[in-house]
Amino acid sequence: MDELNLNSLRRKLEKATYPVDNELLWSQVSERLPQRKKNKFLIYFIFGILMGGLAFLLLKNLSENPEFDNHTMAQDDNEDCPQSVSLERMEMEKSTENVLFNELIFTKNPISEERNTSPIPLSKIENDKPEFYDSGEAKILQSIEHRNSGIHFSRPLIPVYLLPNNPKESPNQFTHSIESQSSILNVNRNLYVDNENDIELLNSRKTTEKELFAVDLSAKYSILHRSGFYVGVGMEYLRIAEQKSYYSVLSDSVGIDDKYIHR
Amino acid sequence: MGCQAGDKNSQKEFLEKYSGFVFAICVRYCGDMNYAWDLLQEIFVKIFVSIPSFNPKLGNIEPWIGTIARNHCLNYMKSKRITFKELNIQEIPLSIRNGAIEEMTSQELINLIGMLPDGYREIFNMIETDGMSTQEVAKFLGMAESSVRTKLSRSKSYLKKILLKIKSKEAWMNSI
Repeated sequence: MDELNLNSLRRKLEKATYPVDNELLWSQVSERLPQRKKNKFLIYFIFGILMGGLAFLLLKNLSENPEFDNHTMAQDDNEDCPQSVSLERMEMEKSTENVLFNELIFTKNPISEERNTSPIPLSKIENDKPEFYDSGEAKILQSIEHRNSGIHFSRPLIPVYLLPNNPKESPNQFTHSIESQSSILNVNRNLYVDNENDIELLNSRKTTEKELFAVDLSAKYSILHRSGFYVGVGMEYLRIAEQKSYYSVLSDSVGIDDKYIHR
Repeated sequence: MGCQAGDKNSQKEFLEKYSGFVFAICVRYCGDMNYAWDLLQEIFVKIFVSIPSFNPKLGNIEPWIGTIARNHCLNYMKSKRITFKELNIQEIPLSIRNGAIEEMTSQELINLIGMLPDGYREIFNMIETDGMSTQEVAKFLGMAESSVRTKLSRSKSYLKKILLKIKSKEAWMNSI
C-alpha cells in the first residue's frame, strides 16, 4: 500500500460516517441522560413551598385550638422554665383520690439551640426519677411543666464550621442536599407509688397507666457553594401526646431553623 | 445552543447530525458492531453531559466530538487489555493498483479496517488515520516504540492482503 493510498484513506476517513438507527440510539441515550438541573431546582423549590405551607397550616391550626392553652403552664421559649402548676390542674389531680401522676417533664424546650439529634426527650421520659408520695394525701413535690403548645421558632444560629473536605474539588458551583429524619415513640408510663404495700395505690396504678406518644419529623435542605459557604434551611415538627384515662395533655411544637454556616 | 441548555429536542437533533460520524470512529476502533454500539451510547451521554462546558468561540464542534469519541474508544481499548495475536503474514508484493482505495466508499474502508485483528487495528487507527506518533502510541499502550512500528507494519501488510482478496474476488465476480 503506497503513501498515496494512505493519504487517500486518511482523507476519506476524516469525515466518514456510518449508518445509524437514530431513533433507537436516541431512545437508549435519553434514558441514560441525567435529569436537567432546572428540573432539580424546581423539585427543591416545590419541596420548600410544601414545607412552608405545612408550617403555616400547623401554626394556624394550633393557634386556633384553645384546648392546648388550657394545659399551658410555662410560656417561655428557650429559657429554663419556671416550675409551676396551674390551679386548675392541681384541683384535677387532687380529685383523683390519692392517685398521682408522674408527669412528663420538659425542663427545656425540646427544640433547643443545642439539638443536633432528635429532640425527643426519650431519656427524660425513661429516666425521670418519680417524686414523692405521702400515702394519705396528694402532694406534688416536683412541679410539672408542660410545653407551651403552638408554633415555636428557635433562635437562628450563625456558627462557624471547618469542614474537612476541600470544596474546590467539587466540579459544580453548588451542591444540594436534603436530609430528613422521622421517628415515632411509644412509651408506657405507670403511676409511681413509694410504698409497694399500699394496695389501694397499686390498684389505682393499674387504672392510671398512661401512654406517651411522640412523633418527630424533620427535614433540612442545604446548598453548599464550592467556596465553602453553606446555607441550610430546616424544619422540625414534634408532637407529644399523653393518653390516659383522666385527661390528656398535648404538647406540640413546630420549629423552623435557619442556619447560615460559613466555613 | 439548545443542547447546552439541556433541551431534549436540540439534543435529539444534535444526535441525528453527528451519530454517523461518531459511529464511524467507534466501528473503526472496535471492529465489533455490538461493542461499537455500546460505545456510541456512552459517548453521546458523555457529550451531552460535558457540552455545557464547550465554548464555540474556541473551535468547531466536530473536532471536539471526534476527540471525545476517540479518547473514549482508546480508554475502552486500554481497559480491555489487548492481546496481540501473532500474525503470519508473508511480505506481499505491492500489486494493488493505485486508486484501489479511492474507489472504495468510506463505509467499505471502515469495514476493511475493522477486519484487522485487535491491537493491530487500534495501532493502525491511531497512527495512520488519527495522526498520532509512534512515540505517543507506545506511551499510551505501554509498549516499546520499535514494537509499535513492527505491529504497524504488520497491520498494513494484513490490510493489503485483505484488500487484495477483496479486489480479486470482485474481479472474479465481474468476469463471470
